[in-house]
Amino acid sequence: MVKLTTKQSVSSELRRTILKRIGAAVGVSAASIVTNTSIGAAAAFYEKGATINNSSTAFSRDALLTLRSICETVIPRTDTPSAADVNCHEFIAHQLSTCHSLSEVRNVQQLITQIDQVSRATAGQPYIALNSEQQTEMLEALEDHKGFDQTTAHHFSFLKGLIIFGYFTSEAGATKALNYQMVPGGYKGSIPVTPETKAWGSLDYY
Amino acid sequence: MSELFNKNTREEFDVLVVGSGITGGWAAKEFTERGFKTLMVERGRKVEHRKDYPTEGKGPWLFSERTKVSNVLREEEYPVQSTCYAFNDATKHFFGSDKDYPYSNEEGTKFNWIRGNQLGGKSLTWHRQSYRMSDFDLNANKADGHGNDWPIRYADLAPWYSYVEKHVGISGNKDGLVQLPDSDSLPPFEMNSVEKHVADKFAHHYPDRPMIMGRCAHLSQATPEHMSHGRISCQARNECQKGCSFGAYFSTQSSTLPFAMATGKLTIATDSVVHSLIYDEVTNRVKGVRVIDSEDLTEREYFASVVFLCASTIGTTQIMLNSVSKRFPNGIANSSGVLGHYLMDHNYNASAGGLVEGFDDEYYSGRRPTGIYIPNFQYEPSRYKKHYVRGYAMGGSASRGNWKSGQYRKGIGADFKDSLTKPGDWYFGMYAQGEMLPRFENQVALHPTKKDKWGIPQLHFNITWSDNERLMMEDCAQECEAMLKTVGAQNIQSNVSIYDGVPGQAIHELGTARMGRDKKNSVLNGFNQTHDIPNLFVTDGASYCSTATVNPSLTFMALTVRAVDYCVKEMVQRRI
Repeated sequence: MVKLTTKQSVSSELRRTILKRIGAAVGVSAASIVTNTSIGAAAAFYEKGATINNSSTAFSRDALLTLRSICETVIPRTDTPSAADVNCHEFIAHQLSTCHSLSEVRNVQQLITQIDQVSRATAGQPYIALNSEQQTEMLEALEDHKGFDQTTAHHFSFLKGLIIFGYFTSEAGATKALNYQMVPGGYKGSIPVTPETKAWGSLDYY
Repeated sequence: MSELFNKNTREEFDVLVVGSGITGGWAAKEFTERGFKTLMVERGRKVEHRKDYPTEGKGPWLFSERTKVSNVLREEEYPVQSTCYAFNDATKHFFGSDKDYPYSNEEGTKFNWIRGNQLGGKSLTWHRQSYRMSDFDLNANKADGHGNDWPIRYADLAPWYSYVEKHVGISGNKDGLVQLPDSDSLPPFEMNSVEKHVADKFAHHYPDRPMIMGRCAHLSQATPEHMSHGRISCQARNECQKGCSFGAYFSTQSSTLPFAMATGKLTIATDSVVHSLIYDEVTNRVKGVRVIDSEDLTEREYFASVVFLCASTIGTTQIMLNSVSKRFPNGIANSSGVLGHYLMDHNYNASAGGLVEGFDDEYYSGRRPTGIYIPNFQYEPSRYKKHYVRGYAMGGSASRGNWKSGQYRKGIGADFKDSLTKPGDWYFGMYAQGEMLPRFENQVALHPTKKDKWGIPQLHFNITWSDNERLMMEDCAQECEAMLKTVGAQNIQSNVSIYDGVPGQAIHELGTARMGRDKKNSVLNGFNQTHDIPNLFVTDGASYCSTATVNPSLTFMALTVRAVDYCVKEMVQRRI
């Protein structure tokens, strides 16, 4: 079961919200399998100081849930899916373990903890329990170094890059939020831009 | 008709072609079409057109790391290959494993050796930019005294350029420039509106630096003949390095191999690592090659009347250095002692860019497989800058920003998301394509003790940039900035990367078995034939005397078909 650290005072309505969010995060158990099992197993064959080589550095379920909420806040659901909808949080956990340095993983882990701590300290609730306006305000404050220092803001920029990358390289991100040309059929040097024009989701290099 | 893929063949061939990339494919096509029984020897695995392009057309979401390469692969398997711009999770199967092909560098130096060890070689992953060399290029060594004089001039190459261009399909405009002879070309790709705007500004402020559309080996408009080859027009995916089932860009698989195969005169031995050439001192002829099976390490030999080395600049030189005999103790056909010396690469170590205002209501469609090009404008000594010799071309393009800038912009939530889905600011970027001077000290040699898993001596590199290359890049960055200012570009930024960038990164390794008129200081004559041994030819980049600024592959093709033509005539005359 998913263990959530919530305050006794959380209202029943809020509990429902939280449960709904967990319910939406059906990927959590799958994610923990990914992060704790397959990556751990792959890493067991590979030992080098610069990279993750054991499952102890994988994200806890709580951290993953918070990360999921952060993904949703940065790229929310509109007429197209959100970053959380496309399981960006799971992708980020995977990508960090496979393609990034240990220090980058730790920075993101610390960042998530810090966001949650500031949330508890200022709003009396974990980040996941804040309403979406509060969550947005908090991340905006983070980008403005309000209540967070510059290093944290720098780490957030890194995480934001991963969220954006994860989202726009997901199938829905690349093909629904953007315009994906699998086979453009040729090159046209000039086409008009209308209010409906979406940027190309199909890039030369990702 | 003998079996096409047969590495256990015991036949005696007319011609043995080592390598299957751009030059190997052309040599095989030309010899087989003229009726010569030809064996193509390839160290890597078989790659069949269309069938063996497993990642073609796949979106990034179909890769678990979204086309990025995992630390394990990057650090353990591909530490060098992963420095290549085209290397990613979707293309890695067309790059050689650094684990399998180790080499060393002289202390304090570094060469990045990018490899494509499979049937088709780097013709599958090349950047496809295609330009003719001019007489200014071929005369440069003679004109300023750096390097030896090329034994050929433009008139020697021109008909052969035309010959290969018609078959390959080179897209480009007829620009009528003395420094960049026109190709027999298909229509050029279009410039977008910002590029047209920039070209107009440059034409006004820098009349000696025309900005043209980059010429590339793509069927911008396939002719009926190309379609009869099984190739169609470029669909502007620009995912070429995954392989192209449309056959829209030139590769061995799409363009030369089908013709060689159709003759019934071709046999291909894949998984065959050439150890050395078999040389007969009595007749002073090469007889064939010794090969080690890349998979089971067994040894075998192939025999032929003529050997064409088309194994890539470094690959060819490694084979020659490892072919020792009483007459040639320091490598076959190396009586001059220059084999392995004068290693060069292009110098792509300056760039600049800036935002271009306006044009908000315009976008483009498709991913153009080429960019804009400003040919070298310092193409003769009277046009050189005072503080260094030679010059650089410039590549570049204009494009609109995308979500990749999102990390560096503030914003959270729906509006931010929306902004990332819109075409961003117009950006015009340009980069240097500079010459590297031929210098004796820049060398690749066999390592005295280390061997690879096939028991072949590893290579040891000793190559550095000189002040000329550094000064050239500093100058290019300044020139780019000045040019961008005339366009009114904003937030102009330039970068000189030569202090960190090592040779090899342009993947235009050239020289090491250079041509020349004098057999005392060159390995090959003007027909890519070794001075020392009449039936041994080298037609890949090893034969270069200077880098010029243009991308070399089109010239490799012209040199190869010209060498085949000469060789055939010599065979008919029984001089070979």
